[in-house]
Amino acid sequence: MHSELNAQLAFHLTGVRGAAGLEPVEGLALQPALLAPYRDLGALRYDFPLVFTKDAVRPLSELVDEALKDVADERVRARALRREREIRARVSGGLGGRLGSLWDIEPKLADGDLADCDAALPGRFVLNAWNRVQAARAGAFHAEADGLIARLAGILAADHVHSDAGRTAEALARSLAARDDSFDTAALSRLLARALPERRLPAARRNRIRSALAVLKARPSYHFVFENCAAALRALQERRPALIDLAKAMAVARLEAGGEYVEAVHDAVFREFGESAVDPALAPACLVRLDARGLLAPENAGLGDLLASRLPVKILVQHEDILDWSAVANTPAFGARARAVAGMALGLNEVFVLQSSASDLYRLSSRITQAFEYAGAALFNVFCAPYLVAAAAMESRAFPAFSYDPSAPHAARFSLENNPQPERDWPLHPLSYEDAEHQRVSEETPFTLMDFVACDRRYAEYFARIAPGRANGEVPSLPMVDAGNRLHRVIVGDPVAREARRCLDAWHSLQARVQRKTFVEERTVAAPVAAPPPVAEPEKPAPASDAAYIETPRCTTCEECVKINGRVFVYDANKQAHIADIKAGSYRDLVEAAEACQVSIIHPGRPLDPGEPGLEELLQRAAPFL
Amino acid sequence: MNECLLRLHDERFELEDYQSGVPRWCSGCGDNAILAAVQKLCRDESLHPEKTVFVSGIGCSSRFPHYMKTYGFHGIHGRALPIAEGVRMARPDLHVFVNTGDGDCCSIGAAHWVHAVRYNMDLTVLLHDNEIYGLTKKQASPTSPRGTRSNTTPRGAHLEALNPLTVTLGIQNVSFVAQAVDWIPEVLYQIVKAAFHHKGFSFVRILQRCPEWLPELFEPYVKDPRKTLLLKHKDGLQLSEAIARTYSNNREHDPASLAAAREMATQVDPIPVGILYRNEAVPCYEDLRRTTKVRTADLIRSGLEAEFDKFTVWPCTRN
Repeated sequence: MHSELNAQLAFHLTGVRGAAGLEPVEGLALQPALLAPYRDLGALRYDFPLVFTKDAVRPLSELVDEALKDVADERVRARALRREREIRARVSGGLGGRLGSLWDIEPKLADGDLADCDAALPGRFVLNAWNRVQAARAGAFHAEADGLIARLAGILAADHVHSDAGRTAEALARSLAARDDSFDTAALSRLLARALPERRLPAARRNRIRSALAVLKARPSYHFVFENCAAALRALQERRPALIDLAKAMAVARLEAGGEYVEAVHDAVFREFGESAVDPALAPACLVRLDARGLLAPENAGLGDLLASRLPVKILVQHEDILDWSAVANTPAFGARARAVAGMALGLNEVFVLQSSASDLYRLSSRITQAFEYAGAALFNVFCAPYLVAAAAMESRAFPAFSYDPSAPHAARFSLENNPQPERDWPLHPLSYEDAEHQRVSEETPFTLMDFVACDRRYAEYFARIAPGRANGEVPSLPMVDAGNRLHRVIVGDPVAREARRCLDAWHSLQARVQRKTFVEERTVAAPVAAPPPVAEPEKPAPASDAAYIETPRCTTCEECVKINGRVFVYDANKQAHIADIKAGSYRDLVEAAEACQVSIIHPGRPLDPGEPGLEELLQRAAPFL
Repeated sequence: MNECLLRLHDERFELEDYQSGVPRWCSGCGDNAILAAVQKLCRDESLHPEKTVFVSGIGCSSRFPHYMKTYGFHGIHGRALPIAEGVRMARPDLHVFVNTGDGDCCSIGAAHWVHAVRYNMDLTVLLHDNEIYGLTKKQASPTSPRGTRSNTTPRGAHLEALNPLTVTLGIQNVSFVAQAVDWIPEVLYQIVKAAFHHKGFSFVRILQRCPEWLPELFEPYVKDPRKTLLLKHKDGLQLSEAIARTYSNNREHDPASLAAAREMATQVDPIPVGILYRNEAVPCYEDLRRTTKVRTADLIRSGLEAEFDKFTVWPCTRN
C-alpha cells in the first residue's frame, strides 16, 4: 500500500509513470464521469441550434415548444420533435442553413439562420445584438435630425417670405399656386412692399441656421465594424472633427428650433465646443471583433487604448483555447490570457465587461444589449468551443461568466449570477454508479478545472488511471468513464492540480467582488442619510386687535378689495392681497372691502382717524369682521 | 450637452410674465382664483410662455386664454377638447391646458369630454364648475342642483345635477380626477400642480363661486370649514399645518384605488377636495398613434393638396 502511494505521489509530482498500477489514459477514451450523460448531445434538447430570426435570437427548442403549446395531436407533436432532432444533428455536424428550408411541416415556425455553438457564433451573436441596438438608436437619431432639418428649413422659409425676394410677383405666384391670371400677384407684391417693410432674421442667426442645416443634411455614413484595434483607432481619429461638427450642429439646431438660442450665452459655448461636449450616444458604437491569438504587442496596446477611450467602442475578444501554455516559463497558464484581458478592462473601472462561454451567450442576451446601450466602452470576453467543451469551461470555473456594469449602482455592478452554483468553490452534482457488489452508490461530486483539463487529450500525460479502490486523499483524483460507461479513477499530475488551485483562487477573487458588493449594500443601509428635522412653520405674531389685517394666504384674488382701493389693497408676488398702505384710504374702504371679500379674510381693525364721518355706523358694520 | 446649454439660458419668470390684460370677470368671481393659481403654477414651473397654450370653449371660464400671456385658442362652444387634442398631437413640445365650464364641457361638449377621457391625451383640463350659465345671465346648467331657479327653470331645476366626477371616473382609461374649490387657494394650487405633472388626461373639477348669479350656492361651504372634506395621502394632497388646522375635517384617501375614488366622488356634503384618482399606467393616445413621419413643408403641402383636390372644381376654359 505504501509503495502504491509512493508511486502515485511520484507520478503526481514528477509525471513519471514508473510503477505498475498506474496506466496511461491515452487510448482509453475516458471522459469526466459527470459528463457521461451528455455523450450523445444529438439526443438531448438544449439551447442549440440557435435560430437568428428577424427580431431576435431564439433556441430552436424554444420555438418548437412555443409552436406546440396548443397542439394536442400526438402525431404532429412527435413529428415536430423528430424534425427538431434531425435539424440539431445536421447543425452539429457542421451544416447550417435556413430553418425555413428544413422545416416544411406543421406547425409553422419563424424562419431564420441556424447556428451552432462554434467559433463563428460569438461574432455573429454580438453583431446581431449590435445591429438591433444601433437600428433603434440610429432611427431615433435620424428622426430627430430630420425633424430639426424640417424645423430649421421652416424658419428660413418664413424668413424668405418676409424678405423682398420672397414677395416678388413670381414668388407670390409660386406660393399661391396661381394657375391663371385671375390673381394679380404683381399688384399684391407692390401692395406688400408698400404696406410691410422687409423683416428679416438677423444675419448672424440666418447664417447660424444655414450652417447647422448644411451639417445636418450632409451627415456622413460610416462603417462601424472592425476586425482589429488599429483600424478602429484610425477611424475614430479621422472621424472626430466631423463628429464634433455634427454634435455642435445638433445642439445649435435644437436651440434654434426651440427659439432658445441666446447669443450672449451660447455663442461663447459654441466657440469652445469640443470633444468633451459631444454626447457619446450621438455616434453609433464601433464594434471590434478580435481573436485572442492575434493579441500581440501592438494590437494589445490598441485594445488598451480603445478600452480606456471612454468612447462607445464595443470589443469582442474571442478565445478559442483557454488551456494556454506560458509563453515564458515552460508551465501551464490556463485561462491566463482571458483573465489578463478581462482584468485590464475591470481595472479601468468604466468599461462594461461581460465574460461568458459561447454556450451561454443566449442566456446573456439582455446583458449584451445593456452593454451596447452603455454609453462607454464594453468588452465581451468569450470562450468559443463546441457546446460541451464551452459549457464545461463554465461549469469548471475555467472560464467563469460574469458581468460588470459601470452604469449600475456600486452594489449592483458586478454579477456572477450566470455561473452554476456561484456560492460554492466547485459546482457539486450527484454521481450515481454501480459498485463492485452491484450496489447503487450515489455521491456528490465536484466538477473542477481538473475535469475540464481531462477532456483535452493534449494533457493526457498528466493523468494516470489507477486500480479501483486505490485512490487516497494524498493525491488528487477524478472519476472518469470510458466508452462502455465503466467507471475509472484517474489521478492528476501536480501541474494540472496547481492550475486548479490557481483557478479556484481566481474564482475566489471574483466571489470577493460580490462580497464587496454586499459590504457596499450594508454600508448604504447602515448609514442612511439623516432626514433633516421638520422645519416648523414660524408662527406669525398675531396682529394687534385694533390693527387692520388680511389673511393673505387665504386670498382668492377675487379683485373686490383692489377695486375698492388699489392703494390700500395690493396684490403680492403670488397675486394675493395684503394691506400696503393703510393711510392711503379711509376706514370706510376697509369696512366695505371686508364686506365685499368673498372669503371674509379682511379684518378692518379700529379706525386710525377718529374724526372720519359716519364712524359709528362703520364700527357697527365692522364688528363681524374684527 | 444640450441640457447644460438649456440650463445656461434658463429664465426666471414672474407672475407678470403670464398676465395679459385685466380680467373682465365680475368682481368676486371664483375664476380669478383659478387664474391666479394657474399663473403661479406657470411661474413656479418656469413654463415658457411660447411653449404653453390654453384652449377654451365658450362661457365665462373660457375667457381664460385672453388673460394669459401665452398662446391661446378661444374655441367654439363645447369644442375645447378636440382642439386641444389636435394641438397636443401636432405639437408634443407644448404644455396644453384646457379651460372649460360646466355648460361647455358637460352639456354641449359632453360627447367630446367622454372620448377625451378615453383617449387620455396629456392635457391639464380645468372644469370651472359654477353650476350655472353665467355669461348668458343665469340659465340652469347640467350641474345646477335640483331646485335651482334660473331663467330657463323659473320653478327650479327639475333634474338631479350631473356629477362630473362620477361621470369621468366611469369612463374607460380615466387616469387623473381631482376636485378643488376656488376658495382654498393653497389647496387649489397644489391640485392644479399635481394635475399638470400627471402624464395623461388630468381632469380637475373646480367648484367655483358665481357671486353674480348664485351668490349663496357655496356660501355655507366658504363660511364653514367643516363642510369641506380634505383628502390627504402621501401620493395625493399633503396638507400644510395651517390648512390642517383650519380644515380639520380631513381623511386619508389613496388615489390609487378607483373603487374608493368612485365612492368618494358621489359625496356632495361635505365637499370632498383632493386627488381622487391617479393612474400613471394608462397609455396616452398620442404616444400610441403619433406619426413618425417628419412633417416637412412638402409633406404638409402635398397632404393639403390631396385634400383640396377632393373638392376642387376646375375652372372652365375662358372663351
